[in-house]
Amino acid sequence: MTLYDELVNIVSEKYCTDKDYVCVTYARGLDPCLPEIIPQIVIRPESTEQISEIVAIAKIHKTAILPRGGGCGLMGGSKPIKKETILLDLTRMDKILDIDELNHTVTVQCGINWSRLNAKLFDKGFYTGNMGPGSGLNASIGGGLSHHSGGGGGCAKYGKCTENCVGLEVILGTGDVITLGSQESRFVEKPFTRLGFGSDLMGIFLGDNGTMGIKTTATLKIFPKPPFFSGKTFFIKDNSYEKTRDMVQEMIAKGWAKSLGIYDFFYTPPPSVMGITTDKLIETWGDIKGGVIFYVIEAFDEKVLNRNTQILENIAKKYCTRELGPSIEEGNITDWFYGEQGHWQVYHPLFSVMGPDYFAATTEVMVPISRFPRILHKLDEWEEEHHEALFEADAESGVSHVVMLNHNSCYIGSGLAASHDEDLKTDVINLWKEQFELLLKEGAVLYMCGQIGSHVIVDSRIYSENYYKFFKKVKNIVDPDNIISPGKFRF
Amino acid sequence: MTEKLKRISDLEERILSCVAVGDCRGALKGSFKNPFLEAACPMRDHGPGFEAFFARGRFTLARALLDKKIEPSEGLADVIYQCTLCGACREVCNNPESPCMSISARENIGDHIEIWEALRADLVDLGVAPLPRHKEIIKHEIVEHNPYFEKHNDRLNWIPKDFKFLSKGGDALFFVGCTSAYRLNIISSTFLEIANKSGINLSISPEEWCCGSVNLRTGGEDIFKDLAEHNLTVFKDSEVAKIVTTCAGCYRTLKNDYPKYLEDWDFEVLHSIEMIDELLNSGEIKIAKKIDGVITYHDPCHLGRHSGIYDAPRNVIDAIRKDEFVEMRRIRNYSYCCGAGGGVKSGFPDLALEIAVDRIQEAEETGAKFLTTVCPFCLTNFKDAIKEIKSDLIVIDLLELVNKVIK
Repeated sequence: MTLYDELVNIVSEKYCTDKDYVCVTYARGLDPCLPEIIPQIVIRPESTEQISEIVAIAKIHKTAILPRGGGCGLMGGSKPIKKETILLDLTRMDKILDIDELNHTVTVQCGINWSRLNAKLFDKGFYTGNMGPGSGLNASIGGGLSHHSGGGGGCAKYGKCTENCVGLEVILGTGDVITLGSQESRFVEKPFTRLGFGSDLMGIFLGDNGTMGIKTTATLKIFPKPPFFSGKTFFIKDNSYEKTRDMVQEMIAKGWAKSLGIYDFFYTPPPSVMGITTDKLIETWGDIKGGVIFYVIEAFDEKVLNRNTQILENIAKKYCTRELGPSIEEGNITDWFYGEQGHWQVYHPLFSVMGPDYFAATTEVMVPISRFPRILHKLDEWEEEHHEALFEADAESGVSHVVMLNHNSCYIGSGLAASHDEDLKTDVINLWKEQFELLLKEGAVLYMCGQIGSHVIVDSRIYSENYYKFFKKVKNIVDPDNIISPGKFRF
Repeated sequence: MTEKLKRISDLEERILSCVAVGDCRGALKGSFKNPFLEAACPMRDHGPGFEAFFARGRFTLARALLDKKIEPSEGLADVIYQCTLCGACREVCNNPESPCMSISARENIGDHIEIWEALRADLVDLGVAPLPRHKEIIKHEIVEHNPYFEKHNDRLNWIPKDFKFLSKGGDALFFVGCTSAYRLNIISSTFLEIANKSGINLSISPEEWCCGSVNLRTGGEDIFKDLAEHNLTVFKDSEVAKIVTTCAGCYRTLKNDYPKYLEDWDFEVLHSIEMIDELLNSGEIKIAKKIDGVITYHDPCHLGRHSGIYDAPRNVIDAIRKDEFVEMRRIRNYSYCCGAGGGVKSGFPDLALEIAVDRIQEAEETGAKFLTTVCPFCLTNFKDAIKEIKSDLIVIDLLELVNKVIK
């Protein structure tokens, strides 16, 4: 029997294909820059058992398996690196298995997307807090957990999505199915905590960029959703990197999420604002020149909300030039994104605005709050130094946004906007890698690595030697034949 | 080959504008104030679910054809035709209609449906499409100008003997459409009866041909043009400025597609429900009693998402109802397709039925007695679904409900 026939036996012909006109649609990710390789077979399993069987067969045939959720990766994470790949489309595994309102957890199959999960939770007065990655409402829970994702809403209050994971079922490259967290015990009825039984082995699989195993089921904390919220947008003239940092520090000193209910805090630096206003992407911002910040706060009590709104406004007014708002028409984009549209992935729409001429080659990283102004300055310097190379590659560099993460760090959304010119793609990829290297050597941490980012980490010797040795040993234990997402981290 | 991909070549910029975010796969949009809304692609729950069946994948397929990464084939056509052209993908496409955002991918990509239709037409030119059943229909259309394998000369057999109509002139020309002419006569006769009761003079032409929607949707652009040009002559001869139809598919085609293809198109097109809404407003139609029983309403894609008509049917329901009007979960521009459009009913009848069953079950959740709509094509598919699952729901054209209560 051929590999294809064996796989068809598991899921039926309806959910397994080797047709080029179907497989070609999996050669693509959100980065149209890295090579587009058509996988040999695409399969859509519906259960842990089916995946376990698929892994066993892939192992016998020594064929790579690439798990894919929403296919929203920006760095080639869900794109095959060789034709001989079984692409595991996990979106059929989209069931909500349990909403435990007493213990505040939800257990799901990892192929469900963040918006569908939260729609169900909203109905019951809950949400996941962190609303998933900034890359899309279509992004899956499994994808988010594989990348320590955030940026899609709620990071200032709830941090990375992996911080809220209390249970995980994973299929290893050996075909073994393991459960992690409190479910490590045969006697625990429902997952409720990640930590407890000695070492936190779940951590091996969180943020693993899909390399350590295939996530099938996850249990996340859920939170009662506060009924009141408000958001404000402010404009900051000049030198806004340091001003923004100082403003954030003052807000943290006054209580940040815990006392002030800050749910999200975004900063758009001046060059990005200029791009937005020049292209009239947000017309209500007019032709302002400077940075823009916005924040959203939540509360269970309207009086508390009003009080916190006032406290934050007083702080913001000290650092900002003027308020853009309060109405949507006056430039307050928070009310649109959080109130009207629910498109928390604020910068997500801007990706498409670049099309068809340009695409995004992003270098998204995490840094401590104190460091972000320096990183932004370094990126500005890098852009200036690479002016000619960028021009020749028909690319532009910039920082689109800074998203506060808890009260101590932030995501920086940086990268390139590059043209679709095939002849220039190698140049763009080289610049892309160079910018990754700059950020990593400035002390930034990559969370979504994909192919390109994980290669830079290894090639630029960002990991300590001992750590990388250990990392490889762990990979060898959980996936001895290196069949799951091969190539990433140079595995 | 590229010459034969002329249509999608012309649309390449728009095709490249899809950056593959994939919200069209099944993202929901909600907010802290409003409930989550779903513009669901029917293929999400009723197909094999591979990327190729969603907008993101279809854009990739168009790119792959242009880049010669894949060859056109009947297998490819089979995938491309498993789409009802409902346009839900366009609604969910990742950029919001924001007062803040003046440029959006939606504007860059434009009308998704136009791209899907172009892709189908190119596949027809390449000889791998349409599907066998569509070919039979097109063959019949050329001779008898309807997709139901009926004789053209039988087109007006539905008209009850004692009903009045004109051969030309009057307040409007009634474009009957093939489904109401050959299958669901109750819709056409009801509308004519309402017109007779309210003193509206309608003309009906025996020379009316199929509007061509079925051909345009399945890639038969040339035949569509022939049908449209013929109908234009008929309309000009009819000595009216206004055309009214009871069919959402005909409405979309006459209202949105004819002006693109016919240079000297100059007619006002109305759906019958818009006319009824106007007549109720002006008092030319008088309500004698009200409908007993909860009503729910299905927005046909051709009338709703494609043409923006959402309020007229709801106004009419409000005017005639005694009990509650309960909306379904997915309504207006986020409405769920009935499953019949885009050649799916003829090409993939089981798929069409499966989707309709889904919608019927959604309607049942409202507790309604009546599921009403204003599209004979939706109605046909729903009636099949009702039979399939033995639902107690009464599926009925809104005109029939109106006719029950007017003087």
